[in-house]
Amino acid sequence: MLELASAEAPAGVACGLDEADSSERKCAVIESVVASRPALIAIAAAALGALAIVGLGILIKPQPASALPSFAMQTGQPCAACHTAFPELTPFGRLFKLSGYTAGGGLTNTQAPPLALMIQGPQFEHFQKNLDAPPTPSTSTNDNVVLSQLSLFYGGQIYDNLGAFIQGTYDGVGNSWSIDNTDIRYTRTMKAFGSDLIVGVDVNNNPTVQDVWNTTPAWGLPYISAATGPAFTPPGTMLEGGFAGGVAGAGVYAWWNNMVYAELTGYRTLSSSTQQALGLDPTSFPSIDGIAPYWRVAFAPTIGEHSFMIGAFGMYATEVPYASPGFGVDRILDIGFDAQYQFIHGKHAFEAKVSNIYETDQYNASYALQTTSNPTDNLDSFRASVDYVYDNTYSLTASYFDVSGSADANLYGPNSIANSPNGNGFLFDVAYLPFSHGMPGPFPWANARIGVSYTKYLTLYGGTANFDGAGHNASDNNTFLAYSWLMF
Amino acid sequence: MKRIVTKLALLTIVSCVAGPLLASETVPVKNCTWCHGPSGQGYSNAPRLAGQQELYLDAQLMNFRTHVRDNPYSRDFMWNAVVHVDEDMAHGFASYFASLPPEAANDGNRDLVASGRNIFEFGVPEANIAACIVCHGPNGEGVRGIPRLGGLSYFYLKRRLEEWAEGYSPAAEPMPKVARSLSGRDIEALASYLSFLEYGAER
Ligand code: HEC
Ligand code: HEC
Repeated sequence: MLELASAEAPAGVACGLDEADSSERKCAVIESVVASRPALIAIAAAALGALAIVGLGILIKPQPASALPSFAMQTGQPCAACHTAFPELTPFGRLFKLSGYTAGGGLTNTQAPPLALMIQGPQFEHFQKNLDAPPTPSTSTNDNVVLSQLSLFYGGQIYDNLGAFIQGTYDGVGNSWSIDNTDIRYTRTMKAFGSDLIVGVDVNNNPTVQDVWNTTPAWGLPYISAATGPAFTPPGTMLEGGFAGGVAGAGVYAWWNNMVYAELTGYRTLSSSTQQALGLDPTSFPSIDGIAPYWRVAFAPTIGEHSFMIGAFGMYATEVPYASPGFGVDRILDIGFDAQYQFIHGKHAFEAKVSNIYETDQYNASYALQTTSNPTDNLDSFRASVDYVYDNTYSLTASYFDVSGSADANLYGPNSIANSPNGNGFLFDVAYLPFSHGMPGPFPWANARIGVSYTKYLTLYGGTANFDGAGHNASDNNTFLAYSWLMF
Repeated sequence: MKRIVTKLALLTIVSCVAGPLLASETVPVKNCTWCHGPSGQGYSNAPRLAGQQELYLDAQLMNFRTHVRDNPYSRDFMWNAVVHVDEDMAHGFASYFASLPPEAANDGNRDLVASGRNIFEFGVPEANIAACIVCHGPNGEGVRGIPRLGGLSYFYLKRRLEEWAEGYSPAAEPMPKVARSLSGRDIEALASYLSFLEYGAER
């Protein structure tokens, strides 16, 4: 998931380090906090919606979101046309995105500008064991109720075949807006080898945010996570959020015969001044030297109510550790494989997904800087999940994740007596999406996802009990989250 | 230096936008093609529209508007899709999709083709099932308000026939009565045969 690193990670919050130059990349980021209250309030407050938020004050943890009410307004279709349970896409949702967010049928963008608002929170966060210290002065070590994110979107057609999904996220602490997920595309339709071909030019700021399957990191699980912890989470690969927001990518893609997808995109790091102008913290991103290629291929036939996808994706980046030029570059290669099966029959939607990202790190610079203890490492991140959604309204998700890789004392030593990145666990999510077929009243496009999720860690940093030598157990980090997610 | 890529990308986009518009797009067909496929060959639950009879398409669009066609996926998707489609636009969409060359879905069960063809051409007199060919034409090409069936997707044909038997869309004379007398096996056979039937192909 997309997490912007906090500049001042509070004491007592350890981070998953995997690359010297981007230590904060994998942190369980603590940014947003309001007050400590019992669980019930979270649910009650969810109903209060926007009003409550104004009263509580806003702090931010960017995460991707979709199911834009502005898309519903533009197409005249309810969320359910494109989402089984947002942000999970249906075949029509995928084709809408591949066609460049430009299809209409509802209100035109002069009748209603394609703007939307998202509020993630308030949410109640409980960890199996209290944190060592409160993550921020205004929070306690457990059972916090926080407001995690407020975002404004432009989502829809700009002109003709040009469309965009642009997310700006508000930071209540700094009282500032920053650019979040952005995906702008221009598409054309033609014929190739006797079949339909959609070709598109895409500009985006987060590798995989342009992807239409929910197996890749930007739109994959977890859709929503706790903001105040837990203290330890497994490290992630470069594609799992490492560059989110801090890069600009331009690429081309092709979708042939409603079956074959191919894409090539190049990413560059934005200059520090551009990052600052966009409200981002330059110290939180590794800097790409030159252009980093990202590729994606998928074979994805849809047969009646069944849709299948088997694909591969990857990215190769030469990175300069932040503020450490002169030591050479690290070379990071991520290779991912993914597959998805989706069956939508009347009111029933079932989905099974797997993905695996294998990362090879050549730490020329970081090794010289002694932020890693090996010149080369690898890291593997696996996730499998199944979900069932009834009537686009009730959603059940179960997922297993497993991260493993080379032991590296400098990278993982602070968290691991085994110097190991290895961790695994389960995620369960139950959600209620009351307005997927339209909300009664004058604004039918709004929707909400109200749910609870439970993340269970079996191992973290190579151990179950006392994995870091400081008395922390993997299960201490088990997280119960009650959340509300509102879209207008 | 680093902004060059962004600028280049923006430039690409701007120059593309400035390109010529497709003359054929007198109606906003992309409002339909994100579900029915870029050239109307169907996608997921959305049926093929390419090469369908113009009068039939026109009539269906009005049936969605008036909610006369109330099949579950019609309610879920098409009722919303035609809210802003007036009569003139309906004519425009109908003539556009009717003019596109159809392609057969070829997604039925080949083993059932022979028995499907038999029912299509001769009906099942003992079960009081009319020969479909009488109305839908020798190649399932349809005529005027009677739809083309040749080459439609197996899944769509099967669902349509089943839903008539379940009582949906009762006004679509004479199909509710025809469909009610078909067995599950008959429906599978017909849908399989028709899915392989090339438009205009000699059989
Ligand atoms: C959100 C997806 C979606 C959109 C957008 C959409 N359709 Fe449909 N359409 C469907 C589905 C699904 C069905 C099947 C309905 C059923 O099974 O009863 C359908 C059925 C139809 C039919 C009936 C075909 C037949 O053989 O009986 C016509 C005609 C049609 N659509 C035309 C259009 C036109 C014209 C547009 C654009 C204005 C459009 N559709 C937009 C999903 C869509
Ligand atoms: C007496 C004429 C007649 C006969 C016989 C007939 N049909 Fe039809 N069929 C129609 C008409 C008219 C429609 C359009 C109904 C409407 O929606 O208004 C239709 C529609 C259909 C459709 C819907 C197609 C679509 O695109 O959604 C299917 C499928 C179909 N018929 C199958 C059959 C089969 C199979 C048989 C033989 C068992 C058959 N029909 C016999 C007149 C007939």
